[in-house]
Amino acid sequence: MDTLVFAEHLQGSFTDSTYELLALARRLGGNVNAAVIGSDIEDLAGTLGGADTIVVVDDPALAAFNPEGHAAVFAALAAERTPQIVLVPYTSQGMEVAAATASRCGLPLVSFTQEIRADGGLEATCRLYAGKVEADVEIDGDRAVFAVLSGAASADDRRADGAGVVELVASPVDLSGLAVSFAGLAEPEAGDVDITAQDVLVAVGRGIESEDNLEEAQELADALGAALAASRPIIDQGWLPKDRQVGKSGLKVTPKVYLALGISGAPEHIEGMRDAATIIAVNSDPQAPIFGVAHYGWVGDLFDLIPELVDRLE
Amino acid sequence: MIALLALDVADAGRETFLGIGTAGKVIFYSAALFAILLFFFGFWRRIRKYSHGRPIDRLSLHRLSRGVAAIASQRTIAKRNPVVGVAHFFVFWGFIVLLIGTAIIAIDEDVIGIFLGKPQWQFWHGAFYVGYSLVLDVFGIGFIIGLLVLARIRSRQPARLDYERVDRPDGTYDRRGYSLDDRVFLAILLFIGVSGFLLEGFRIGATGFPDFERVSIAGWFVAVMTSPFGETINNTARLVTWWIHGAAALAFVAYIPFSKAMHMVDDAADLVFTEPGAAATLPDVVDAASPGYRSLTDFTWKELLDFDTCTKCGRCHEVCPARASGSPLSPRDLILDLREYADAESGIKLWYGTGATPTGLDATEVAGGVIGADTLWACTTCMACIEACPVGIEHVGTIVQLRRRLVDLGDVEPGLQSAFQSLARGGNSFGKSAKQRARWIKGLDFTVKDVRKEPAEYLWFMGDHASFDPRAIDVSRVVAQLFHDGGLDYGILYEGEQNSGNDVRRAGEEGLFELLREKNLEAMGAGDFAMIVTTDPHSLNTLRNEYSLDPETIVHYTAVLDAMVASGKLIPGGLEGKATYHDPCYLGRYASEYDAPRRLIRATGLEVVEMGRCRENSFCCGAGGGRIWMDDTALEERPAENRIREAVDLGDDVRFFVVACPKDMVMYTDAVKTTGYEDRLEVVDIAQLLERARQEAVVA
Amino acid sequence: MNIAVLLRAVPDPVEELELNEDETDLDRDYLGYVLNEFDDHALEEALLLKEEVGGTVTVLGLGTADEVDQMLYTAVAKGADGAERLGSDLGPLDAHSQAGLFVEALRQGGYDLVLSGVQASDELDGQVGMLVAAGLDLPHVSVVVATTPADGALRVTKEYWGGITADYDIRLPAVLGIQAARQAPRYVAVARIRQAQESDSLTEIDVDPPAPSSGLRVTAVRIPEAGEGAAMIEGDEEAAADRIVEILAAAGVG
Repeated sequence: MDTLVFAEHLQGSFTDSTYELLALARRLGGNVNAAVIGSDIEDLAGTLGGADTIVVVDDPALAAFNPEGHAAVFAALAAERTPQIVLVPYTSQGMEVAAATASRCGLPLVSFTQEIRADGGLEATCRLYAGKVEADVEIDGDRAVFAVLSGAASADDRRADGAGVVELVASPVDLSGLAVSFAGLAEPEAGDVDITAQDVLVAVGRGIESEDNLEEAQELADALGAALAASRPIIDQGWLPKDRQVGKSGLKVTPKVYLALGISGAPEHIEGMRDAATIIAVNSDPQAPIFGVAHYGWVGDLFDLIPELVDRLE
Repeated sequence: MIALLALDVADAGRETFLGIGTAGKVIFYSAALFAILLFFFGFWRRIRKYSHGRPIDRLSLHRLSRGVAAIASQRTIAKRNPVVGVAHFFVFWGFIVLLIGTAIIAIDEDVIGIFLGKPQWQFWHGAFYVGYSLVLDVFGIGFIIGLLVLARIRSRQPARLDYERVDRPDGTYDRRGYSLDDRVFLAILLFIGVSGFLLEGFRIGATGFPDFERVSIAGWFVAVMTSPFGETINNTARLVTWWIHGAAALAFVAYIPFSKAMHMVDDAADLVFTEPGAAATLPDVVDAASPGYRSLTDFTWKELLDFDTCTKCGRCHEVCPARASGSPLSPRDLILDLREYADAESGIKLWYGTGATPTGLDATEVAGGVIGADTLWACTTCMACIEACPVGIEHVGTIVQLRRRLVDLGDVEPGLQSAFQSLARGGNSFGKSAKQRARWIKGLDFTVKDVRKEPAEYLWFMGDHASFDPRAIDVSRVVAQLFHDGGLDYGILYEGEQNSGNDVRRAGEEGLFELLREKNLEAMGAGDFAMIVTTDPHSLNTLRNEYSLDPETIVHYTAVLDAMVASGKLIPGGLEGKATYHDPCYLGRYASEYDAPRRLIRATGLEVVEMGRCRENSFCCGAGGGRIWMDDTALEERPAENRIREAVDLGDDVRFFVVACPKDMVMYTDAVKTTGYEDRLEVVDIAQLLERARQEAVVA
Repeated sequence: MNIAVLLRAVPDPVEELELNEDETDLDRDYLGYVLNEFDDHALEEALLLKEEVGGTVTVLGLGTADEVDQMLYTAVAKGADGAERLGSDLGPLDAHSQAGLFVEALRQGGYDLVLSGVQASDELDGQVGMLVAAGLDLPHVSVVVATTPADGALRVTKEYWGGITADYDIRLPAVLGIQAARQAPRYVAVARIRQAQESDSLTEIDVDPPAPSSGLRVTAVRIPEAGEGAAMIEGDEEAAADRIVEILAAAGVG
């Protein structure tokens, strides 16, 4: 049995999801093959630990991630090598690749994957309905493409350097005349605070209700020597700058303490903070999914709690 | 007095055009004709402007008699302003009497004497003349004193007469024209009054101090003062003053429709046609394809009259909770801006120019253009403006019509948008599933009937906040217990209940209101009940007035509890201390219920201490009109906080702030925390007080 | 530019989800459906493009739930030129079936651009937008947060993470997966939706219910226990504050 993993990278380094997928692949057993697609990335590819074979497609047309190009190349590689299991991260890059590959290879595609079981038939467990429901899935046949949610395996297991055999191949598809062409990368302006460097974060979600109330949360953050962070809805409203967003399209944080106030815990947010050492969640809804990932939880009104905490901390 | 009675009145009278001559008379009559023509021209222009408006049924004998009574008594002006009320009473009646006095002369002299040619029918002499002179002098004095008092008040520059705008920074507008108009009006009236008395005095002096003129006390006094100058000088002075006084009076007549003086006619009319409670029953949408007001012809003639009626007294500006909290809404400025818009659209340009700013009038939209969207969304529909207005302007209905236009355009504040979407989906503004509406019942040790399945005497219509907001749910449980203990046969609609739609309608989403109303009526139709009781005054309003239900069968829970206490079914005990009661806008101003809640508070043993702004002058908590769903981060001071401070000022011994509305409960519970008075003042619902009193009684 | 927007009905996220008797699916008897939030953004982006460069916006929905008609009429009230409902009483469909039906209809339409929401909460077997792109053999970019029209092409902004975005030029015709429109989806008055309902703006197209082709079978469904992970703190806010201060101290903070 063998696995093909899409090795996701950005700005010269592999993302955590790449290592998570490699760890997952190793757990499933058999040959672990990783595909590294880009330009001038042979050296980088060489650093990838955790894979038995590293297939490298190096082409100037693939210098920046190209939804069309990368997807076509990966799909073609999968079609050629016919791995049993194809693993792709459920991320902005990964999603582009998954469907093309499944379609090209005529394989079932499993999205929102949390767990894969490959002894006997092929099975998976997936998270649906914004994380509220877990579904066990049986797959027809013994081959499939999986788009895997972050956190399905621990990234740290497989960061070991080197060890894999690098196989440099030419692009299996014609990369001229692509309909999609890269036109530039934009990074957000550096803000005053780097939430990824903080020991303690006070994060607010929809439960904070209005921009006015951020003052109270800031007071608490000040009393804790913490920085204020937020889930997507708060950032979308413009109440805090983008560099304070924790989550899938925001930043991943691993503070000592993460205090989540009024955050329901959608999977996209949890992805950004699940690795915090101590997570304390406060929400008025006892069914909030955040309690599933928190170490400690309290069901109640955050506006009642904040003044009490501030009192005791000052 | 006896001396006056002894006056020989047989020869009493005076010559009208004494010493004026034929040429003078011709000039005078020509000038008078010209002035009257100008008056009618200006008057006609105004009427034509009003005629552009939509029809509305406001003509009725009842309104006429009520209006005349209000005008005659001047009670609307005296309300909470006794000094102004009395002063204006004398200005008003002084003017009327002087006007009638002039008319009498014209009738006697021109109609009977000249036109009909019947000098024998002339009556303006003898005892009549003496009585006439006395009355006119007394009222003339009152007129002048009244004007002087009002002038004094204005000179003190009270805040409400400051025409500063709340929606634009200084320097972007110029309202000196308004102040000029104010001053000219006051000056002309004073001038006419004073010159009239001077004229009278000179005449009395020039005609040899006829005895019967003693009754003309002011004139006699002037004559005595000027007599040292001798008859000739007095006569010359008389002639000069005659022309000056005449010119001023005729100029004034012509001037009326082009100035603030028009309020004399407009405001009287408005007081006859007004319906202060109209906002409780909003009109249906006229044109479904284009709801709300888009252009001048959409406004009713009453609204167009309203815009001219405003005398800028500033009372609405003072009482408005939105204005007080720093919103860009001043009811006064709304009316004045619409006046300027109506004038511009009708081709009327006034001499004093109001410096209307370009962004306002150049806009092609009324809603969102001439009147800013922020201004329109700031209103809580509390009706304090209507209640305070001495001349019958109805601001709220106009605001709602303009909001309808904003909603049609999709120009809806984001918080309001998500409230509307939640209401359309689940029938509640909390973003919760409709199925969760009756969750609050959990924990009661008795069952609550489902009116859709079992008959009950009362349907208890809860309202959103009483069902979903934790702060209000506490009260709902207590009310349920009280109803139960008082033996009330009641049930609720469970998931069948939708938001009543009162505030949705007032936020301008008429389509959504109709949807909610349909669903509620459907759910109610399936039920078997005789009466409806509600804990929510907003729901009370719309159920009574805007649903096709019999208003007599719909009551507020305080009425039910009041009856239970009165009949001995509930026996509250002895609490001690002082409480203050906040009249909810929709129970007080909208439903005129002020007493039952106070009786209930007293029944618990507490003493009721009134806040300054109580009963019909109550100060809104800021939640109505959809405001509770909107963002209030821009406010300087939330209305609820303002109110809490008012209560705290009553003194340390007032420990309870009593409410009778779920939204009040929510707003004041928050406000008492954010103002830091949580330990000082306890926000409590009447039901909770009653329950506490009952428990005290049991213990005792 | 002729734009098609795919609208999907998903279970209302506000509702508490219940399972059917044998726990293989949600209990759909009383389930309320709403428009997939991301599809609403896709519609908004389409309307913005139409306002910028002209053209038409057509919305397509599948007859999978009663609420679909309302969704389509709402889109028309917002400014869509036409609405098509494919099938009726189809019941819940997997992503492959949905994509198949959409592809059939889209082939007739001659659209320059197809927009759909980046994902929907029930897309177990892949994202419909991408499956449609594969079915039509059109280029596709997903997680788009802004579009800017250019001659015969479109510049789109794709969102990565940490606020990083990348711009791509994409030749039309193409399919985009929208994460967020340039501005929040506009409001449309209920009265206008009702007017749309009375007009003739919805075209109903008969389709045969598609055969399942995803190759996946859901064998069991669970609602994870709330608070499964966390040690819940009991008591009121004062007790909670006390406990939290303890936890913080243990973690070396505060």
